Amino acid sequence: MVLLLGLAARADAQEYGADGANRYWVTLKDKSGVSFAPTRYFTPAAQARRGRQHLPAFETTDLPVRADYVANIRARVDTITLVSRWFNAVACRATPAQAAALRTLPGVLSVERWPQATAQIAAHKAATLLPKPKTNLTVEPISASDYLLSRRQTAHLDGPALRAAGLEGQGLRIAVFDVGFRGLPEHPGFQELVKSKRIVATHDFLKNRDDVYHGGSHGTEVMGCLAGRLATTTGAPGPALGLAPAAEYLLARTEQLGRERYAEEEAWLAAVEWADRLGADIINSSLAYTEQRYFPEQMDGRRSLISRAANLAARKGILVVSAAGNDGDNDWVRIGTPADADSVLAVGGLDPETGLHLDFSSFGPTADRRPKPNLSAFGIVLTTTPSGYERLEGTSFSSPLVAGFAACMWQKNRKLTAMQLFQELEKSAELYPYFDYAHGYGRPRYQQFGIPTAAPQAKAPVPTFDFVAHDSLIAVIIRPEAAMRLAEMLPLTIDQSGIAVQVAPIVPGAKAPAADASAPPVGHEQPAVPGSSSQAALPEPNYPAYLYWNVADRRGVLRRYETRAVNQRLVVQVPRRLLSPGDVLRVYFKGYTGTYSE
Amino acid sequence: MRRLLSRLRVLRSEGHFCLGREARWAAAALVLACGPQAARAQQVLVQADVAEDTLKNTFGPNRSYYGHLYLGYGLLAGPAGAGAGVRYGTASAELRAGGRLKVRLNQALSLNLDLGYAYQHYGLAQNSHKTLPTPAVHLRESLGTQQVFSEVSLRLNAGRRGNSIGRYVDVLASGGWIAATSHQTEDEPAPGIASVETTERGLPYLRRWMGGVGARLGIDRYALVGRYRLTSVFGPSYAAWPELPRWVVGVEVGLF
Repeated sequence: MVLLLGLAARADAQEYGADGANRYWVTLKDKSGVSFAPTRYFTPAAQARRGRQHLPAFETTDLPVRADYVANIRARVDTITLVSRWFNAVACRATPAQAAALRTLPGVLSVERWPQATAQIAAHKAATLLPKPKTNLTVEPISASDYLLSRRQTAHLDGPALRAAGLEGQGLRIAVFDVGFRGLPEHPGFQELVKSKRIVATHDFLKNRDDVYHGGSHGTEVMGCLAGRLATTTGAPGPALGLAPAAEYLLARTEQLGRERYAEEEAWLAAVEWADRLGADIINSSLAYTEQRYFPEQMDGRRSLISRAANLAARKGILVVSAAGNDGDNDWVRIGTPADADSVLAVGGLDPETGLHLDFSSFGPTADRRPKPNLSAFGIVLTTTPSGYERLEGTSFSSPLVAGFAACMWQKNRKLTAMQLFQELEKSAELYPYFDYAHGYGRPRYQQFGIPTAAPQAKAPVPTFDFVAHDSLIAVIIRPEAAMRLAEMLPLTIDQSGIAVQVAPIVPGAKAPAADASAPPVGHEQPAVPGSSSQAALPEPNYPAYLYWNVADRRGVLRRYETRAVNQRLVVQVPRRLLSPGDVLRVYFKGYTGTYSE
Repeated sequence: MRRLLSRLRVLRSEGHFCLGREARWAAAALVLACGPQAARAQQVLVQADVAEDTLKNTFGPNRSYYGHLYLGYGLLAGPAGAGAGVRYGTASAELRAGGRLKVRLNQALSLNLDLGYAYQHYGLAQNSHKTLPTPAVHLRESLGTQQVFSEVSLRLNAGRRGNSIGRYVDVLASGGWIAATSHQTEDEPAPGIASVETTERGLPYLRRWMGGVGARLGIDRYALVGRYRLTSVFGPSYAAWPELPRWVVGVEVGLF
């Protein structure tokens, strides 16, 4: 019993802190009387971002917390772990008696217990044993299929066209919040980034120091899908693994693998305020808090501190991109937080083999039935690891791929506000206006980005199918002209998976071709020029045309949805009993979305 | 056929299109000719019934009900009566396997009902003070019991959490029925014979029904547990016999 009591005391000490203290979140009443000089607090980049988006130079949430309030709290508690301007709050460690005393202080609005948490990194292999980084890294040659994947993960998001247009994220500042960036500085894939000093700032918010190159390599892997490059024998920059190799980066360590004693959401909030101050345009957050702290029905974008902070970041002109989560194939199923936040661009994972939803990629909607995820990208990628390059899977990598794409689109049109960019990204997506909870609007497309509906390029899509109402069912029949299969030529190379990889000429600004219409005209194909990797025509995945259909209620909440392989023209028959009054049947096929309602 | 075709309509879509008369006839004919079987022939690659996916579960680590299996291993501890010394350590240990039904009362309080099997092994110390079951000294001697047990525990959880077991303290009471008993000895009877082992089963001096209390301290699937046996290990007719150690302290791992 003594032993048990001893153990109980230890656990109790863990819960309450080694000194009997617990964590508390103290919300303050006001910020009256504080002085603030935005030009001194914000970096020029942060001021420029606000200026571009016609945002005020500062708002109340940017004002500092009243120093006298903080001093009062500091005098009564053991440790202050965070002072948040955005939430006008202080996180601290205190005993229950000290917490009770805090409640009586002037200026204190509320004092709440601040629970512990464990975050899940949205990558499947993140929890595996981490290899020791090599001090003198020699990268093993990668296999042909891995090389092909590395090219396809960017080609799938129009990487070649973006590079041809000079869009590589120049002038954009991207903050990456992760568990650690072990091995990044010495990795050959980041030599260009490091040499050009485009890692502008780093900070470890768990240990309050600037070294972020420890604690885990998940950040290194995520960075690979933003700014990593394949190593070359000549030392010249190799092909990019992400879409924003020319952007500037802020690296923040906010997460820790495994259980931890410091609340990670606190660190995330501190990091987002830091990123705002340093002028981040985009935040990539490849993590998802799920069942350790929350229930699926709480994923409404308002419950967690991290989702509220992300929404606030969006209000300050930052595009927050988050992995949807890897819980699609377990009991959780749904997206985690902060992907549930309204203003966070949640990115799901696609299978490079099929172009369809990966089983593990978390599903929408949010708990309050808002549509999520917003977009999708490859969830299996080749990326940088401390030991070289590895094929990894997880929506952790879909998120930076889309963040890189967003950086390119913002570079193209710097006048857009963060939320305009958000909406344009959705509108540019392959399936838009079709949506489902597995794919979102699908992958974003460069050629479709920012084209106003009234523009001459925005021709009304040609119908590819018809609805035929029957007594008891609604049939969807593909039109004969859309059912034609174009003659295919032999690809130059073929992937192990058997999916043809075509060498297609990239025409910037051209309308996105339908999946099976991407074959270049005979005689117009151009082989890649050896050594000119960044400009060379890149392999683009060539998937068969799928048919997507869903049934939504009058609020737009989906009841059910499917994606089907198309082997015959009569492709779907929806029983009418599935359609309640007000329901809408929506079908997508080859760039055309049709709706039917009764 | 005519009635059916009269129901055929041109349907609204986001693009504007119109199905010609011929096309309508052809489409209707196609639908009728193919029937539902044809659509079933289509391969569904992604499918979801949202209502089913978003059902609020009542079963889960921090839901109304939860059930899981577990394994436990513990060492006997505590003082033994004079003449009932045991060899501590792995020589006197308990192995148990069970299932647990957890009923959540609220975020901080749950009730657990366990059912399982436990094997206890008492390695008896062979010394001059030994009195049970006989004063005879052997090379090795042990008592073993196989028990079917049932346990009720009240769980106090600490801290807010999601759908996870979290950190907890259980206060438990248990009862068990001894299904089988054994007494094993090992001796060196004579030169040239390595050892002689004897096993007696169905021991009359061991009590059939056991009861105890304990506590469990856990984080998610891992727990430290201590149990104290309230009943004597020996039957009423053997009440004068010295008592064996009453404590078992060990670990449990939930299988979920």
